[in-house]
Amino acid sequence: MQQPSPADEYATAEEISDAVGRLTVEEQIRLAKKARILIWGTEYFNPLELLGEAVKRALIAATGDRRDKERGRPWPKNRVELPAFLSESMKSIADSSRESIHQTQTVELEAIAGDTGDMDSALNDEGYSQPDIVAQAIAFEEDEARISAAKADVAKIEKHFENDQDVLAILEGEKEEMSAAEVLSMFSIDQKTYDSARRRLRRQVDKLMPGRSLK
Amino acid sequence: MKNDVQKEIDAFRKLALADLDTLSDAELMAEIAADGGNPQEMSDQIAARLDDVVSQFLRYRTAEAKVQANSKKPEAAIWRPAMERIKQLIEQAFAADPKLATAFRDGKRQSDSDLQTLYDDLVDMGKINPDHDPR
Repeated sequence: MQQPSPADEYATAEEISDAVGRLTVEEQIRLAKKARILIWGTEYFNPLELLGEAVKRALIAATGDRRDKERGRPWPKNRVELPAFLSESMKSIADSSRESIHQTQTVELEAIAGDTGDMDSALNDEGYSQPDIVAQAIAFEEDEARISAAKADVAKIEKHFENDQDVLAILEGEKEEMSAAEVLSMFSIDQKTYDSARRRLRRQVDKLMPGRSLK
Repeated sequence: MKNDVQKEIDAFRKLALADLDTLSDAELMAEIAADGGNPQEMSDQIAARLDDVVSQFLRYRTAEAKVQANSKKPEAAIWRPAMERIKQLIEQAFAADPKLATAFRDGKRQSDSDLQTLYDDLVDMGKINPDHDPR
């Protein structure tokens, strides 16, 4: 049987603990800043909660000991540096959160709720009383609150940049999935202008992100 | 949220992450300072949170392993050395393996009963070689 190469070796719980303790100030802050950007639109309200979840999943994978619905994500210690690994892990966790079952379930529940959006009445009218349906209804309402908050965030950022043509250009390009080169060409801006607009956007997103303290 | 808002947020997020990746460590620190932040305070806060995650996880797993181990072996009368000796053995175990101190929070601010349980855990984990029962 073929032996795994050293590059494929996964870290043990002790190695993860050691490596987490050795993260530099810059690495810690960069990870927290990434988490702050990534939690937007997810169930997480605290960036460190997301970062902690990434660490926990590495530990779960290392012990091979899952509980309930816990999901592990092994850290290939010789192939990927810990900050890069945690960064990718946070991205994956945040993506999953956004695409969570709650959000997909809402399609059916929205249909049940109809135009009024009143889940309680709709469920009673339909004779639904099973706990899972009620739980879905609660999840629906939580998602609704999350979506409303996200819409308000977007409106606030759009308002801030309504007269900044360069930022509007790079946003438009990103939404149309254009490459940076295509954006430069289509909107007749140079690389420096592109980089500067992107920096302004990130700084403002960072400042306007509501209720996302590093606590 | 598969709509315009989601698309807009995706665009904000991708651009912001891409920009963060181009930021040097020095620029990152300068930004924190410009925003009135204190990097060391932030670092302490992050480290404390991650330490919580790691220590809680390790303690939880150790407790679980202990329950499983206890369920497999018959109860035996537990002999422990005197409290001062227990403290000494715990300190030696922590000094020999600093990760244990993280997992068990250095054994500080704990009652005698907590220390006895901690002693039992460390013996079960093979981190303390128990003194011989003099009886």
